[in-house]
Amino acid sequence: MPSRSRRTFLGMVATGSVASIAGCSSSCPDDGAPDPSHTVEPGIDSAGFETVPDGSWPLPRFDATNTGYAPVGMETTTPSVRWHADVSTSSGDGETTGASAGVVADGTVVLTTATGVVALSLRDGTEQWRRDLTPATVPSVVDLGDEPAPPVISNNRVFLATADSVTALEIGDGSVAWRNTDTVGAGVPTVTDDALFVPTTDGVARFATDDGRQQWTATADGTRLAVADSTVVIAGEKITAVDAAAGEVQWEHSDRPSGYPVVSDGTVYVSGTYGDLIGRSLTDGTEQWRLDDRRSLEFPVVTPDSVYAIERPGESSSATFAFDRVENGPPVPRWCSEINIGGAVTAAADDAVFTFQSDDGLTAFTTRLGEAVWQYPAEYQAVSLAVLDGGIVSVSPDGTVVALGGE
Amino acid sequence: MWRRSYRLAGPILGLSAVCLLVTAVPLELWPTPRPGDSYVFNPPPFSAIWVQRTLRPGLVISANALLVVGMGTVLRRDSASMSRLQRAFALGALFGAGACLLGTLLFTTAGTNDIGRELTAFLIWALAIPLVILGLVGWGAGYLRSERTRLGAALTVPPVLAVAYIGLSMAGIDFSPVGRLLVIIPTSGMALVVGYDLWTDSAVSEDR
Repeated sequence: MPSRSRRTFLGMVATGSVASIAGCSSSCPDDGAPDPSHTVEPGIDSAGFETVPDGSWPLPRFDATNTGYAPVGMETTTPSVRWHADVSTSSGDGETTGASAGVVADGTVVLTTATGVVALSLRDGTEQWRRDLTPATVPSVVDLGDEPAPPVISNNRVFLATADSVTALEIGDGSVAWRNTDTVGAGVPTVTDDALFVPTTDGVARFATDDGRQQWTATADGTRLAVADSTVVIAGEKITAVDAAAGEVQWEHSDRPSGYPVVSDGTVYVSGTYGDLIGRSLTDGTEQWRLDDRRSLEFPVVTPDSVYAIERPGESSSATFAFDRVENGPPVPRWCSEINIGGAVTAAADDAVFTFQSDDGLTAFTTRLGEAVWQYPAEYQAVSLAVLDGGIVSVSPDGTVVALGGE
Repeated sequence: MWRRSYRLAGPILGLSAVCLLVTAVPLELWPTPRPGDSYVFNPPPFSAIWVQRTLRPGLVISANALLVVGMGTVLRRDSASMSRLQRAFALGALFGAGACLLGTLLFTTAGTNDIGRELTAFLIWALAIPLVILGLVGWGAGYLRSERTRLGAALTVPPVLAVAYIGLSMAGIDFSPVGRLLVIIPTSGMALVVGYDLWTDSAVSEDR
């Protein structure tokens, strides 16, 4: 007879009773929260990175396809806090509306707050410059309410959707490169090598990155975009695909997507109305597969061979899921780890996938078998993570920016 | 022919002991990946996770079933020479062992979050295990009274050790990492001794 301690048995009975009363629980067979090998101490030993991490995280989800995956390595399994900064997030009337996701490029961390845009040094978190403006607001992906739309960076410029314009600033000193006041920002911009796409109050618009000239406006509503293979995918009340060159609607479906649409290898990953994870063809929007045997999969992070997502069944424990991507079919589960209520898979690197959860903070798992390598306890649920080659920058809803890494 | 069937039960009990002893091999000695922070859906065969999830439950079920068959053969062989009380204890032990097997089957085949099946298994074990313990002690005591010391000791010592282990564990004494061995090794020993008794008794009968 398999041995079970009395404590485990009673715990099972209690858990089963609660789950039965709650009516739902994670489908992950894992039992118990992860036990990481290393816990990051909140204090700072020496301020700043001795070696500034390489790489960049120029968009809120790394790139225009929103995969949330950076092809870099953390290079350390025992990171420490290198610096932290507090960015004011109170608006003029004292109402706090939070901070946006952070983006990183050219040794600079940029994020928006309720009253402006702030640039911090990646080396030590010191403020480089600040501009007063009112960013557009978007529904929060991790919490109730709205949050400032984050900026995006390309070719040494910071692009912003504001309440009265679309603006480009020079990353070096925050000076205005151009400002288009013919339209009003209404979502998170995204940028490719040659174009800026911004949700506006008139629809989704395309702008030239060099001078801000508006090129077209598509009649499609949404607050978050992905761009891949000359197609703009818009997540709003529906999931809509628009031709990136001409702005013509190519297809749309009533999936009521939540969060960012993710595109990888010709497949659009959408968290649908009922919590299903749906794979649609980027070309024509046809459904390729659907994961509906889990209870509400959200926040997909897509790497070349894996999909990571959080299963959030509601008022019960959540679970981080890792799936193997397969050809011609839905992703196949590889591992799962139970976490507390809530949580979000925020990013992945070559050697780790990062999950934020209430009460436990940020946990780094190995990608292959989900071993908890390290954990950074934090009382907040991060708005975003920027994963660099040797470091991580996280931003909290209240404007706390923390950089983790090795030496 | 009856003697041949008794003899077959000897190796069956030996196999039961081997199955139990394999389950006692620590997971750290099996190849990686090992059980960790996450549930792995398709672990490689013969990895520690595979052993914990697939091999061990299979071996436990097999060992249990083989034990029931073997002990049933002992009862059939010795029933005529037993007192009514000893026979009752023996039947109780076999019934309890069969119920334990059912509980183990239910538990190992329970799906994800199948709390009902798991609780049913625990309930069956809670009723069956005392029956097994009492049954074996009474059965073995009968053999001790009839001066079949080896058989008697083999049947009485393991349940007594099991009771001591469970009692001390519930009192808070931590036996890890050797706790499972305190149950597995005496049970394996019982199976080996009883199996040997069946094999040699059959051999003696054939020589006559």
